[in-house]
Amino acid sequence: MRIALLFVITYLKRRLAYRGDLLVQMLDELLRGLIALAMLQVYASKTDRLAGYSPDALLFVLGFSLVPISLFHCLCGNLYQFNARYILDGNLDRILLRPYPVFWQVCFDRLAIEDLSGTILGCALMAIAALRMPDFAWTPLHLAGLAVMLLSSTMVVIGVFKSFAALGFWFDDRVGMMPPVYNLMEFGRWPTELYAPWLKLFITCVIPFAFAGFLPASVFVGGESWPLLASPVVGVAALAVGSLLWRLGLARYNSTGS
Amino acid sequence: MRPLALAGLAPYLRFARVTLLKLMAYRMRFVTGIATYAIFVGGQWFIWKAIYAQRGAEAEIGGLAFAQLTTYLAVGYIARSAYFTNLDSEIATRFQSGDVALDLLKPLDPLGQWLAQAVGECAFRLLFFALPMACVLVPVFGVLPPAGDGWWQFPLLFLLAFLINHELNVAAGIACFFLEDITALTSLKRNLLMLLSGLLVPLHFLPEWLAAALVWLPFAAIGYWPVLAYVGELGAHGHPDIVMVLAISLGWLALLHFGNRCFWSLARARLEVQGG
Repeated sequence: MRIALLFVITYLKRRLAYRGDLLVQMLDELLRGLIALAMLQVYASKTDRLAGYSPDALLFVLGFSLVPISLFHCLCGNLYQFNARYILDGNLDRILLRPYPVFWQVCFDRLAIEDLSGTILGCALMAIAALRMPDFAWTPLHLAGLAVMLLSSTMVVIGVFKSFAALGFWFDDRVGMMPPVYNLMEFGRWPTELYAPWLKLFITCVIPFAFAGFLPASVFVGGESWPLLASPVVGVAALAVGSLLWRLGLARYNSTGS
Repeated sequence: MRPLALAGLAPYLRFARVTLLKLMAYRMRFVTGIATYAIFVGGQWFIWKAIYAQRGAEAEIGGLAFAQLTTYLAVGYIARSAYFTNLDSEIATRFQSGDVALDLLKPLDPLGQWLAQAVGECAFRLLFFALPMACVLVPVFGVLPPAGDGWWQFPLLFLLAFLINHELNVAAGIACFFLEDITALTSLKRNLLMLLSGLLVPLHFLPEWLAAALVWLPFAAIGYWPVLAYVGELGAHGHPDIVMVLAISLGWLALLHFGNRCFWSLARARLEVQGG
């Protein structure tokens, strides 16, 4: 734990040396949220109900979905470039020399605190949406449930990306499968009823991004309540698969040798 | 006179060829690239489908029927797969590594060299991204052929889109000279462009005040005007005609190019490359 703290502090010092970068990165994270918001406004201006959900309900779902993504960017943003930076450029060798779990080191190599701006934006949107909905239950139990759902969503996102980062041990390409998988998250933001059955099945069971946005969030805005139990299970399962693949991949790792 | 002019171009052509060859080394990206764009179009397709379904079969939104809007989105993404280049991060990397000193040694214009590189990348992308992507997206989403005068207006405006996007890339690349980490700025630019260029949604679908401002900016020339021309909407439904669009685009191109020349000499004056 002490070592983890040291990693974090060193990293923060390094980051604060370049405040311009920090600002640009923060703007970028906010912009992604704002673009999603703009798209929602466009859709809402053309219809008052999407798959039975009001614009306010969708705003709540959108705000919710920004939180796990932003936490992922902040904690594990490095996974996105794991192939290029660690496997192909050989940075993994440096990390393997240290007696500390590889996964944590990769994460601590780049903690993007500025990306927490997305969490703040997401929470703000959720609050705005909830205030506009008269029947939103503001009980402590409800809010605790919301926190658990946010946590499981984050686990889903991290688990999926850990799995795909681990696939980099088998396929050495600079970008790999990351961009399409990342963009797949967009599907998780909207009511699953919109999609063709095969796609619905795909984003709930194969790459479960529906559990990183719409399904757990819809519980609070009048959707079905089964995701309340299913989400934590899927979150744990996603993390387990990710860790398993990570272990298997690391075991077969050969350095690039440079 | 003519052979001489061509001989002067030869070194630039070489840069275009080398960039093309370099990119051929990464074949895995075709598959993931096509998947990414299909996901982008698909995500919106499902949502718009639901919205149009509520309004009835003959519904039009902003003068576009569902098939036209699908065409707009798909063609927009196919075009983007071609005009999009990574030149901004490439320029920035050369600044950071100090390789830019080598560019200065060559008896060539660096801005010309960068343009040649972008042409090489664009040629590669046309052949290996845009073409296969069109083969996938056109049947899957039922993309319509160009309507009205779109068949000649679209290629013309696409060329301008490529050039204007390139000038923005050069500006961002040089701007990265003043920062440490370039991924954030390039990502910011990319995300901003997706909305402002009308790639995500036709600009006239946005709130009126925003749309009215955005059509005057150079970003519209990258995504909005070419694809609007493709669906045959230029000069219809209150949209400006081709002459007007060409005038705005060319004006911006000239302005941006001139701006980049100034920006480049400014950065060059500040440039300090350490030996080693």
